[in-house]
Amino acid sequence: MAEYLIIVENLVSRYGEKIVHKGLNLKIKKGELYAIVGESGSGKTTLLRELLLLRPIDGGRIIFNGKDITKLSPGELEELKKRIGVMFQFGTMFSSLSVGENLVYVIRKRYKIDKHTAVEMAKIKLTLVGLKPHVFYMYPHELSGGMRKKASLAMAIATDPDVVFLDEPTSGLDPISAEEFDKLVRTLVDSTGMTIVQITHDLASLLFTDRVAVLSEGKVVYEGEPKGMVNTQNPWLRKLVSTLRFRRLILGK
Amino acid sequence: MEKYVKLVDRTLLLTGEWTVEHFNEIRKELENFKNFSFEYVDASRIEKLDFYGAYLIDRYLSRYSIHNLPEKYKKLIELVKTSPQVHPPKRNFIDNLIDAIYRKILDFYEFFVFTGLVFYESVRHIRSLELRNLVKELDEAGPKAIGIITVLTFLIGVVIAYQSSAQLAAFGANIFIVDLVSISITRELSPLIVGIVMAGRSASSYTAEVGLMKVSEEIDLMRTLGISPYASIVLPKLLSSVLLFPFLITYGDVIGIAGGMLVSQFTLGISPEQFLRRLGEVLYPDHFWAGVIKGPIFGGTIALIGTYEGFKVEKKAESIGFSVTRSVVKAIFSIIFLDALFSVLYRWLNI
Ligand SMILES: Nc1ncnc2c1ncn2[C@@H]1O[C@H](COP(=O)(O)OP(=O)(O)OP(=O)(O)O)[C@@H](O)[C@H]1O
Ligand SMILES: [Mg+2]
Repeated sequence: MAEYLIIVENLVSRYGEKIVHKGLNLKIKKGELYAIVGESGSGKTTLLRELLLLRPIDGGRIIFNGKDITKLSPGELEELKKRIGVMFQFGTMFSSLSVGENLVYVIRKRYKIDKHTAVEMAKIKLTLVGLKPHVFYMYPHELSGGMRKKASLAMAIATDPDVVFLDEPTSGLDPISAEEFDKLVRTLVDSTGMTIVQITHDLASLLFTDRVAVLSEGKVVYEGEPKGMVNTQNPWLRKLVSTLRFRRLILGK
Repeated sequence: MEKYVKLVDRTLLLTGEWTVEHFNEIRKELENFKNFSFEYVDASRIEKLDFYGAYLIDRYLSRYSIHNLPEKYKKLIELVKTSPQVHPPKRNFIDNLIDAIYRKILDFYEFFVFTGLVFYESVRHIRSLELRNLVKELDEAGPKAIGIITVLTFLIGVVIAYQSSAQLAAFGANIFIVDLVSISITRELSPLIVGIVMAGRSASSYTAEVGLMKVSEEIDLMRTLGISPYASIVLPKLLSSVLLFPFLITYGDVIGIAGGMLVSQFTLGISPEQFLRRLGEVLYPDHFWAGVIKGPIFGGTIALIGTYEGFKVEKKAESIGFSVTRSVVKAIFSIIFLDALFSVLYRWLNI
């Protein structure tokens, strides 16, 4: 049991009449790079919002570190949130703070770290994600889309959390940056042991991931190594597998 | 007792979880060993290392070679080595002052450019004006503002009549209450009350509405679609204000005078019939028009200031708040300033 960081059991969620998840199951191991793929509108972002407790669930359970997240005490919840980093789909940051201040703010809100160290660490993280040092003093609205994504990744990993959720991190990045991004995510998982869960439409990113969950029709229709996706019967997945992109990238044909 | 750093036979032994949670404790222990001499640093007992731990190793122990550090952690130490030196752009007081003055002047200039553009584009795109939008704006600025205007103008009429009735009674000039109330209300007070109420109501909502559209790039979308934001957003608001204000002022006149009439009856014993007869004799149409004519000017100014500030909103959380505040302050100031100008003008024209 302890091997799994997150277990989602029979998750049901709906917006009014519309059912998004119809009994969804998945398990994310500690220290792995896990990807979630699926059609646009299949409920990936919704799942993420539920994992982050930003949205109540309509059925099933979400177990984090062996505990049902709906049954945590406020104190436990606070501790849990401290150990989570998130990058939202559109690279959300605090618009009234500079990029550097955003990172410093997160670090100092969460831990008693002195200003000097927080600033140093913010600069280290910005360099790590491939941003130029002067970005530290820029404001989010002054960044390009790709820079914004990088900056918000830096913010997500500012405090070295145990688990980081990334919603479409490589969309809107140029191919070189996208690959650097994938490698960086891999490095983070390998060298700090953090768990990274990324939602993605970028098949090339799957080359770097340990395991992948495929969402279709409100369920997880495949969970396992990316290569294993070929051996399934699910119609959407079969379509995906037969795309040129998939065959070239994942199967190398 | 040390938990993270131990000195054993001239070997510094690093143990435990070197992570952000224990940053301060680890640093304190490292500080203690600063002046000790040791030859060897052994990291084999580190259970967990993150960037914060790696940072400490780099800043405190970089003079030593670290032995037995698990391979995966070596990368971390490499990654924290790069702490680039950048400094915030420095500015002095004079620079800031010049900047502030320059921005004020620029703002004034831009407002006139904006006004010019609104008129220019509105004329060119007059066909794109949708009746539906105009009706929506009229509804928003008219009927929904009537309540507060009723209350305020009525109260002002009451207060004026009440305040002056004692003085007038002392001179036996009771009937002059009608002149006093009606002329001051129609020429000055009703336009001013309507202007200030609408400066608070409309200017703020115009700024917030346009500002949100600016931030969510809807304005840019319109421009790329060849739709003029001035003609389709500003024009309906401008027109509705210009059209409505004369009516609101007239309405305010009636209510204000009614307030005065009510008080006159109680304090000076002037019956409504007497009041109205006198009113017909003293309230020349000139007085009425002198007030009403301010309406379109006030209304136009409020709509232009409100929308102009909306167009200047930036993509920062606090920006809409600042802009709304600025727009209301500017609008109220402008109303009072314009009212003063009108007084001078009327004096000069002998109206
Ligand atoms: N606030 C909402 N109200 C109603 N329906 C919603 C809401 N948010 C999402 N939905 C619906 O839920 C479904 C899942 O949306 P979600 O954003 O989770 O998709 P996604 O898998 O993240 O898609 P994408 O890959 O395009 O980001 C969609 O059909 C969407 O229409
Ligand atoms: Mg999504």
